[in-house]
Amino acid sequence: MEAVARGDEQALASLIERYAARIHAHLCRMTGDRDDADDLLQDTWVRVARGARRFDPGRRVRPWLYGIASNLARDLHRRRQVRARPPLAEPAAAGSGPLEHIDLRDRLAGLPDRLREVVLLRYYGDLDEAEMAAALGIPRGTVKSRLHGAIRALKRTFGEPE
Amino acid sequence: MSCDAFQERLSELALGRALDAPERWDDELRRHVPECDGCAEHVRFLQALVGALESVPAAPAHAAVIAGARERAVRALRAQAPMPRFARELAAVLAIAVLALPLAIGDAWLVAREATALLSPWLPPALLTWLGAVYLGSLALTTGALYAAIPLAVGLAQRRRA
Repeated sequence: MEAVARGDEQALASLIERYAARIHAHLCRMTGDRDDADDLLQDTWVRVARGARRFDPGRRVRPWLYGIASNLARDLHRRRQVRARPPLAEPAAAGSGPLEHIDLRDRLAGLPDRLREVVLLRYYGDLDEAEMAAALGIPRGTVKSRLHGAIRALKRTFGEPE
Repeated sequence: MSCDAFQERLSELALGRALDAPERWDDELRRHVPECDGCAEHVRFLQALVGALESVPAAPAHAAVIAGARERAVRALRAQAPMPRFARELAAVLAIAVLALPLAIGDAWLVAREATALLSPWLPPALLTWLGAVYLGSLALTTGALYAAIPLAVGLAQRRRA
């Protein structure tokens, strides 16, 4: 990253080579739309190039990249004011039907951005709480409460007692 | 430990892909879950959630998209490149020289006012104006050069030290 900050184009290309696929997958999951993910991937790397000189060498690169991508995805949602996926369905009645009949994927997509992104960053990005806190610019305790809030929300819509 | 605390721990294990790795569960958790219907149910919910997360599709990025991202990022990096040293020094010299201008104008105005009052009985107004302009010009040049010598001297000293 220090080489990128010095303007080393080859170092930037290596960074893109290494992380682009993972960041693209994260953006796909955040936006639910491949075209949006394609556009945001480009914007992410432009921001990386512009911000490289301000990057604190003491920080880790991966959370920083995921943080930029998540912010862009959130901004896109905010601008559009519509969800890429349908909103949450009404909670099912407790004990209504076996687990496999309920599409948790849709329920996950219907979570508010702030809750969904921590689940995605933790599960797919493999970021721990401290890294997520750095990526999203929020305290570690907030990350923890959002993670458990997401689980509780999913469970609630799942129709199970907490 | 309460069931809420056990369930939070289980949720953390699930999102860290360790729900099905009982060796990563602590002893207390291993003992509690089989004896508690609520927590066992939570484990089943988490297993369904992990299944759902595993099935969320993330279309791989096309090579062209990554190439496009790289191209835009490299352009952005080039645009961020710092000014060459000579250009930076020249900009500093000019900026500081310009600082001398208000000082020179103020001084010339004061001198011109006094000189006009003193010399107007003997010299024609056109000559007085011409003398004033020459004085202002020479003062601005001299003061500007003096000011500009500061960054030049600093730059020279830095180059010698390097």
